[in-house]
Amino acid sequence: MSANSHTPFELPSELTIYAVGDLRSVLVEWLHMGDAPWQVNAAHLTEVDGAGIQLLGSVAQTLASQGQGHSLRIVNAPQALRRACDVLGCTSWFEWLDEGVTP
Amino acid sequence: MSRSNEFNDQEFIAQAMPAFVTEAHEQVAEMENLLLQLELQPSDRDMLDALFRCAHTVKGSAGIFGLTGVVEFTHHIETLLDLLREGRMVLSPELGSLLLECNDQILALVNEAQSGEPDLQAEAMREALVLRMSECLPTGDAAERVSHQKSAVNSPAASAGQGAAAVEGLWHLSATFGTDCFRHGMDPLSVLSYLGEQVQVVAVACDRSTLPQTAELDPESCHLLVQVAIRAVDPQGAVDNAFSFIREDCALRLIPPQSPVSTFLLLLEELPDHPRLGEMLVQVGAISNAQLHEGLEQQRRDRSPLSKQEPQLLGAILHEQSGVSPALVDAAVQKQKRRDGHADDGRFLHIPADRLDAVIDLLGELVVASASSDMLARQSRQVALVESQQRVMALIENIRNVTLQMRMVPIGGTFSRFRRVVRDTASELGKEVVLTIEGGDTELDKAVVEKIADPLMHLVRNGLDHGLETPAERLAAGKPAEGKLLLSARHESGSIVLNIQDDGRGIHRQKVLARAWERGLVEPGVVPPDHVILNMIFEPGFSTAEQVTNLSGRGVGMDVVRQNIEALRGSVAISSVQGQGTSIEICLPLTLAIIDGFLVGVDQSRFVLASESVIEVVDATSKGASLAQDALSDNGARGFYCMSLRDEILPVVCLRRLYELPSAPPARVSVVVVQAGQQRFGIEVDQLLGYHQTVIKPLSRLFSGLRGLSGSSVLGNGEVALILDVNALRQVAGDAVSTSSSVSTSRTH
Repeated sequence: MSANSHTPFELPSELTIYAVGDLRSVLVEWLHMGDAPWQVNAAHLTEVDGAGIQLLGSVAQTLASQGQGHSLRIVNAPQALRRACDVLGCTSWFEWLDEGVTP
Repeated sequence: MSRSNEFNDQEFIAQAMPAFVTEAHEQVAEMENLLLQLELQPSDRDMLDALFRCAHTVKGSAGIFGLTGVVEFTHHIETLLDLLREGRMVLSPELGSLLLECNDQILALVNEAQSGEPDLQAEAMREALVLRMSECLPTGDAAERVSHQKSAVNSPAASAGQGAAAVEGLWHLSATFGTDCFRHGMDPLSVLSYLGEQVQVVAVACDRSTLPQTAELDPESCHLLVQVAIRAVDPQGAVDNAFSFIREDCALRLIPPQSPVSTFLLLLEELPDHPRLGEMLVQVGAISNAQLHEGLEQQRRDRSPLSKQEPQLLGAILHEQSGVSPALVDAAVQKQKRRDGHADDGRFLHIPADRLDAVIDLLGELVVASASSDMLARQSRQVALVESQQRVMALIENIRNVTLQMRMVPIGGTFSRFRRVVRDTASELGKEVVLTIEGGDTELDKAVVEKIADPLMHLVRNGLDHGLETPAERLAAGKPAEGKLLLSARHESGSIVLNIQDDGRGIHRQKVLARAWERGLVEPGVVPPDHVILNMIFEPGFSTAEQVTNLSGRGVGMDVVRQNIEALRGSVAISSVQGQGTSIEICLPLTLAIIDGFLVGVDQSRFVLASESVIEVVDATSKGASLAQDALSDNGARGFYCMSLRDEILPVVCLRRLYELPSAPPARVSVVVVQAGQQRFGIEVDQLLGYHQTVIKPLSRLFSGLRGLSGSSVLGNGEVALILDVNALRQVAGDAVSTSSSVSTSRTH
């Protein structure tokens, strides 16, 4: 197991239409180089919009389509992100690693 | 939900606000135009659709700028327009007038937003209009729509217990967000968030399975399909509201409670790219798993070649259903229609006019520069160079002509504005008028269009006020009660001809003459020829007390109209038959940027005359000129004299004298006879140098004191030619006539 697999991918503070262009390339790199468990750390996230959630969803879908049962885990998700996923109906797209927070 | 930091938002708004205001003005003008046309064809579906789209556009854009006043007010209008275009309401004349008034208020709101100064009086008017609008709504709709517009703001719970069928049910909303919605500044997250504040959202599911792989994803494209279960009595209003700005980029389906499975199956059929959709429907509780599988089975059976049933049965069932439940929103089809209607949208650009002028200026210089290259090429006698240069020149002239063409706008836009004026004015005056517009697509220079609008307006108002009679008067005269007003435009040999024609009472020669005698414009008792009498109305001071009504005679007299037209290098002529009507014809140059010029030389200087004003050229000996100068020392010193041309007196301006050019005149000079307005006069020059088409450069303010010049032009050899203002010279020559006529009488003694 490489050092990568234990450190989650750090999401930036802004996960919006303005950030998704650059972020996508980085995530593609991550998907290429990284390994299971696939985790993203959302602790620093302050802003999120539909485009941002879509990008994360695309990552989750990419993992799912590999047929190995991998899911995308979101660690330390702030309330804003959870609420946004609820509103958009995307909560089931991800695994949430702080189950103490009820959606 | 903020999508970027505050600072960028404010910057964006400040920069984009002028564009919004311009667009809003255009949309409002278009709406007025459509409303007036719809008065004659109230069920024209295309126009009703276009009308709705205009209001929708204004509302959407206003929303981006947070102009809630505009949004809320326009929303009421949009509701009515939506019912009209769906055929659920009829556009009666009263409704048409109401909508016109509302349209005016949209403009007022936009202007208020721009200036930042609220207008309480207008606000009160708007409240009254909103009330009238809600009274117009068909009953049944009215209660639900108005109450839901209000309750949408208050609370979803209030909506229960309102309206006839106050039963809550589980509704299903399927929203397919378009690929470009992010690019258009929309966010499905905000839309659904807002919806959740208006109605009770029970469950939401978004399809992840159709998201592209991250490596292939364009993150700025939207691939979201959302299924929403809503518990409400009638969420139609809330859904409309929440999705109002994103409707162009979203296909919606709102399915009422207790809809048969077939409805959902149809949804599945319509979204074949989403194989997981069925699961999602089950997930949000729209249908049960069992129902889904049973329905799909049935579909497969129906599709098999052995089945006698038509696959369209599902569709037929749905139509039956949708007949029963009007709340079924089929936005996908509407979206397609709107797409088609918007085919024009991508074809136009907004360009600041001065940028275009700068390009035209540069192209003008390019033409001149290439002409000089051409000359040098010829001198070099290198054939290949000459040919190449000629090709370059041809291309440059083409570009210049095309660019000049860009300044051309159809006059139809200006004409259409008059519909409203005519309508309101006619009704104010108690007259019935039908306005016909011909040749609206005739194009002329933008600058000309802008400057001709006011004179045209004055002439139209005049025609309505003085020309056309009241219905009673017309009937008494054996005419139909409805008066006719015709506005037309056409091209004619390098000019634009505008015509304003009415079938009214015509110009009363006697009255005009009497007024002219009264004002001393004509010697009392003298009866000038008919065309002179008619043109009296263009004389300053002719506006009589009798003519000053609410509309005309407020200091913008016919003389100013003529001045404005002539300032555009145009001319105006009037003809009239008493009892039958009046026709006013305005001739304007196609463009103010280029002049078809007749080049003349005096001493070392070069002058250009507008060739359309040149009538003929006459040889004159300088001897004759000097004789006249002796006789009229004053005028002679200033450069004016008179000569006889075919037994008529022709005043002549000698440019050499006028501009104090030093050298002595040559033995033979030419007199170019020009026509300016009604006046004919001559201009004495040394040399005739042929026709040249040149770009006009305006004279700087430094030279504004020079009489008789209106601009300059650069010739092929780099020399500067001054453009003579024939009308200004006419003024000067006109003075010469009055003095010379008295002198010539003395000479005969």
